[in-house]
Amino acid sequence: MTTDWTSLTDGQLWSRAAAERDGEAFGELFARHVNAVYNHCFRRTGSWAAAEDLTSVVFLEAWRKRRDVRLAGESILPWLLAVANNATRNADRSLRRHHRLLARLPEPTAVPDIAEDAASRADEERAMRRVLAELRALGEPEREVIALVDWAGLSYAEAATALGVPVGTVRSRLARAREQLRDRVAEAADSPAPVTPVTPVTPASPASQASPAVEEKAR
Amino acid sequence: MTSFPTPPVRTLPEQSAAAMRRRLAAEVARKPGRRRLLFAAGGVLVAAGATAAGYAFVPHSQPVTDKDLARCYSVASLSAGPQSFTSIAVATPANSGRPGQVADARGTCASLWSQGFLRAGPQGAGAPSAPPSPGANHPVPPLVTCVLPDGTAAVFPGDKSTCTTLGLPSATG
Repeated sequence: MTTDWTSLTDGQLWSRAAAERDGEAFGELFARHVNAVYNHCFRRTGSWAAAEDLTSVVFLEAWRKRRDVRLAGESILPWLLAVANNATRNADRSLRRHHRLLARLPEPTAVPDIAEDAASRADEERAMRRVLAELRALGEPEREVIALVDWAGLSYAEAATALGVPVGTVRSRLARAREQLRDRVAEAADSPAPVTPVTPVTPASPASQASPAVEEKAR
Repeated sequence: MTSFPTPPVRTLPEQSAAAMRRRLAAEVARKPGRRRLLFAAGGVLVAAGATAAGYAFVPHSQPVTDKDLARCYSVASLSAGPQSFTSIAVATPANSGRPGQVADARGTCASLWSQGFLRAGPQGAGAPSAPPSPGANHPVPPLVTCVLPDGTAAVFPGDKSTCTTLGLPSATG
């Protein structure tokens, strides 16, 4: 009898993967969240190549730390993004370890031809680096909430789960971050060479509603 | 409410996603005892590699066994960060069943250097400050091909002593 994976929640899949070492259950979780993790890693590093390697690191790390998993409701995505935050913060160490791990696993990494769309990837990386440069004025805790709530579309509660802090702390960090960003945006607007345009951001809402672009492209 | 906009989302390339998924399934199915043993053995080898005595265990040269991809580095270092290398592969038709093979890693990386996709330095494989110019001839430094532990080619600026310095065998053939 075949299993209808789509009818299972993240929690059910995780339990099955961890308890029975069920690779297919873990594969389904991977399929559900890989693109959200991939894009999150890109937004933290500004490099698609590093994001690809780090995505693999995140899922391998998630499996290694499976006993520490924290579900937000029924979604495992906030926890995966927390693992991604750690991996991107220690990108050098994570990637070195990943390369050692690859040496003992059977499947090689496969990546697309860099010439295929190198120009648009380079444009996106330049744009993302400009954004990350602007965000350097913020502290790491503020950058993390911007990445989780404004960019990845997590709700306050989900971001709180991911960061292991109270919801009130997420609110205050986000308010502080947005205030600082407003100041920088105003400065950029006053300067003769504006750095980056600004766009309105919708208030935080559940990930499934707040990040339709991610969901659509993931399919 | 304002924030800085980010580039549009991308989907992880299908080939990469499939390879990652297979690798994860293998890791999940791995017996825990074996994993711990391998970690311990890996730790011992890493420690040994850090000593002069460990040098004897690194082969002087060996063939590239995995040609599905290669890495082009902008600096002769394995630890300069994610902006110091880029992965390359050969595009194949979507349903060809297997990835293309990078037959000439050094030549392919040299062409990335000459087109301006790679520049010397620890950030040299990141997005350039100016768009690459495929028509232009940017300088290509002396390049050497070493072999990573997973059998893939890693092309560094430098000569054969670079592989030795990095604790990697140089590539044969």
